[in-house]
Amino acid sequence: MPKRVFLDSNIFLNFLLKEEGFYEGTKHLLTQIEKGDMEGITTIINIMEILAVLRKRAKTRDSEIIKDVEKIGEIKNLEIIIPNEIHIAQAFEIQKKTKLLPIDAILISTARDFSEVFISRDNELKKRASGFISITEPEDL
Amino acid sequence: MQKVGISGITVDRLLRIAEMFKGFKKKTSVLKELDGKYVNAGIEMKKQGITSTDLIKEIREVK
Repeated sequence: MPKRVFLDSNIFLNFLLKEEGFYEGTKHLLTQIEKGDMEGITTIINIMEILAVLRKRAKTRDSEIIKDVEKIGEIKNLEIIIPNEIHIAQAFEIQKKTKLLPIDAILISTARDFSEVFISRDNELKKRASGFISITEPEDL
Repeated sequence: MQKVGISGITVDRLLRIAEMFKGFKKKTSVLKELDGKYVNAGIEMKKQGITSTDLIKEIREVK
């Protein structure tokens, strides 16, 4: 059974923005997911964050940005989850223990339910939440 | 349509969510279409010393 990995918003943005130093590892990971070597998981919250960042930084028509963000949901072997009330209740418990920000806590809670590893570039998140799920960068998988 | 609660979510709401996800059909390679499409914004961010991780943190911290 392929490994299930949770992708944080910054991972998709590394790829879309072709961010130097982060792009290659991310592209390799997304290609592995598309080929079915791994299964990708993310949430609708991440998709919304990606839309917010692109709207803020890209000089592209809004309708085109929306279309591109929706295309993320078309990546093969990538599942987009809508966190439910159990994930949010668990997130509150995680937040109390870790001082994580609310959204970070909801993502960690959801990731624990659906995946084995959380992929992110956020070192602070890594420090605070590694007691709940393994957190790593694409290059270290 | 009758509104029946499922764990606090009405059927109407579930159907609306399902409708939203209709567009999320799996294609052969969407990656090729998206690969570095916003590279100009990425270059601009690099010049300003900003990464996508910084921007996501800003959103989460409501700065």
